[in-house]
Amino acid sequence: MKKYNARSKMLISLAVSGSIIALTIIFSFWLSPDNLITDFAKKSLPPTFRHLFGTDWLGRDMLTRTLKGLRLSLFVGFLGAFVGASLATCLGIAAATLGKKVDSVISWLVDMFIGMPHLIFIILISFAVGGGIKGVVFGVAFTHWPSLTRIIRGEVYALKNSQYIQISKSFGKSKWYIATKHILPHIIPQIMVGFLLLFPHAIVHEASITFLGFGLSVQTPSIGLILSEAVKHISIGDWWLAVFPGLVLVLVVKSFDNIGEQVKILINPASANE
Amino acid sequence: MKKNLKKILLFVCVGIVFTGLLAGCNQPAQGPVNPNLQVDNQDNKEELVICMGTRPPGEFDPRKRWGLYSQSQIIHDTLLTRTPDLEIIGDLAESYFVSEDALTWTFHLREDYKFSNGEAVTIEDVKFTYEMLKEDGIHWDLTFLEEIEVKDQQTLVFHLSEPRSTFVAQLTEIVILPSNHYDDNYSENPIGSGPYKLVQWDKGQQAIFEVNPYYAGNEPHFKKFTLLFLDENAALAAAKNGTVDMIYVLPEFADEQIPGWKLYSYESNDVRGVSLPTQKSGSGTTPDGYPIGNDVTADIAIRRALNMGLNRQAIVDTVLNGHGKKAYSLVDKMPWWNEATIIEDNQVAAAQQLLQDAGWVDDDNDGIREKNGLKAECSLYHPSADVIRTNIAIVVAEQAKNLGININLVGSNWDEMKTKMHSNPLLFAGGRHHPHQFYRMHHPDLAGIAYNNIVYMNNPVVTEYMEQAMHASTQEEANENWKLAQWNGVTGASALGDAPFAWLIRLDHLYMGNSRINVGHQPIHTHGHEWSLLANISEWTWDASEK
Repeated sequence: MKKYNARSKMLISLAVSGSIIALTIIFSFWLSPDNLITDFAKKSLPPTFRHLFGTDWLGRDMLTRTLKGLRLSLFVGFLGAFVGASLATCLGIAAATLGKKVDSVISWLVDMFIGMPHLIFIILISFAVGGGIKGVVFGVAFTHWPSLTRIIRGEVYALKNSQYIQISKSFGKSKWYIATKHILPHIIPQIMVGFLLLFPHAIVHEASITFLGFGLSVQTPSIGLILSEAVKHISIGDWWLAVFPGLVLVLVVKSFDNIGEQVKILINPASANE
Repeated sequence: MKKNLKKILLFVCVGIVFTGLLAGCNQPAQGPVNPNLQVDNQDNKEELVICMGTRPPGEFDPRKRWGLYSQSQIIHDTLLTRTPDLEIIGDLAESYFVSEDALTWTFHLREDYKFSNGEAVTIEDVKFTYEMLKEDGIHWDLTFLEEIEVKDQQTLVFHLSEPRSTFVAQLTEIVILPSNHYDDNYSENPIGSGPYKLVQWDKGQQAIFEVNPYYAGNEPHFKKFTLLFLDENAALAAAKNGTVDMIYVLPEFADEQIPGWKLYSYESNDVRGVSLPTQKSGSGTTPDGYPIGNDVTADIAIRRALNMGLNRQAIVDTVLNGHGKKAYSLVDKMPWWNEATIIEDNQVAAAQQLLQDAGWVDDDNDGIREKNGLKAECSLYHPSADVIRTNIAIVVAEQAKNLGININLVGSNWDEMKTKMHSNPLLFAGGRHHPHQFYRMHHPDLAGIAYNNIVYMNNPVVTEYMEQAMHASTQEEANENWKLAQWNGVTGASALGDAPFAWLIRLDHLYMGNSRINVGHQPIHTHGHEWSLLANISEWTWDASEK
């Protein structure tokens, strides 16, 4: 049997994780929404070949519901990670380059957000913008930046005092020029990894907040909603309503986490020995 | 190495969570059950533990709606009462007499009624109760009650300012309160003259009732019963654990098998439907300042199309597992119901044609019709904690899509819905043993006050019939007018006429309980599943021969 070295192992695991996510997305589009039409002839069926994840109490196919729900989670997760990473980049650079006052304001903000439980902030924000899907999107998008901001700020601080930036400064280059031409290229790997590692967090938070409700319509397929509904049917033994959606959620989140970790090692091989 | 450990830990955690979930299926959680209440299968059981809902609606005080949901006869008495066949007979009033013009109601009270503290029920208590509720005026409309005259210690005369055919229903619902012991804290220690007395009430947990030793009627078989306030899932778990004797069940749970137990199922006029605001938006605000009107449902074609296009039987089969009936009005099966208002439903093609003819056409092929640039689209509010209403809403939205009407579901709570219900469709409910609710839900003068006429229905013909029904001096004359108010061949408040609601289903009230419990002769149930069954608990018996 061929022995795989660390590099090919990593590529294989990247490929597996990547295809899990890709399959989820492809199937979520490919499965027909007709499977979501209620049908009393197909109520509460345990998993069969026709309905791999079984059906719910209104006869809707659980595989379709789960995957379409995950698509929402992925979308919200992407948005959360993207906005989080962008905010973190801007604030991190600003804190490190725009002087003491800006730095202390941003550091105070970061401390405040980190000091407060994540979920509570999401709940507050989603209430403030009026609940529903908009609330979930805003809530998740604007709460995932603080820790990455702190990392980037530290990174930029270290860079700022390096010789070539000092030289660039004495050549009379503007702060904007230094920020975009010298600092940004250096911290892009950090941003990438940060983005990827924010993703699973955002997905889990989306699931938890939709689990709690928050005005999300029962028509919107969402993994949290599926799980909270399943709780109401556990007592009559409909285990498939919770187990499969829960497993798929864990699988997808773990895949993203794995991709993030592997990319971190690829970009910064030294960390592989940690 | 460290990383691996983390991963292993993560998977172990996930594993534990799922095993927990699975184990949860087989080992239901214990409710807050007092160990003394454990069910013992003796031959002559005299104590019951019952789970029905999570709180006592009305909290034993008529000023908080107590009595509106058939609960009058548990710890209280009323002047009149209903037999299971809905005939009106005397309770505290031994006999009563209504004058020809229906303006003078004379009651002869029984002497032997006593409150649970041993004091006699006096004529002053009756007078106090009615005067107090008239003055309060929130849940009990007694404005027509001009004077209460105490003729002698057994004879009470009510003088009405105008005839009121639904007054008799209020006489069966208003509980007689002790004038010496009634105050704002009455809920905490309610004293009544009914078969039982409340001995303990731990809010959110349980309420314990014991026989009232001073009760004038026959002593109930069950000397004590405890209401445990658990949600439907916890109740089912408690049932499987054997810690309760009777529970209310959701239709989805009705097929569960518990040894020694059976399903108790009763027909009801507890209807569910969709309210359809009849006014255009911008029609002002309610007395409480909430907006009125909805441009889409203001079009009668939309309201009629929903009434005829929705498939009621599919809702009964899907949501209720078949435990229910199709509904056509708020008053189905009652003596004042106009049977001509039964419509043929599930007529998708005809409903589509109706919309087409009214100018609702899908121009941009998105599956949703438009008329003058307005999309046939509306929100439907439903209480998200109510499983049955939520499921009905899901099916309604799906069926409406076939008609080209887009319904967006909004899961909500009553605090929010109170502000939205005059301008948006709501998944509404109703059903009473009297036609007064029909009056309240269609009369323009009551529009916007509490849950009365939330659709702002205003049809002068209907209003006139309802006034005539209210002022009728005989029940027959009243019923005739109630029927005409629903449909007189030209207009009405039913689906054939203005269609201010799309009433969809009547749910069977489902309970599971020990098969030895004999719950006696049950009337057709009304809105409110808990007290519909418990109303006659003083007549329940234990049938040891039943297996």
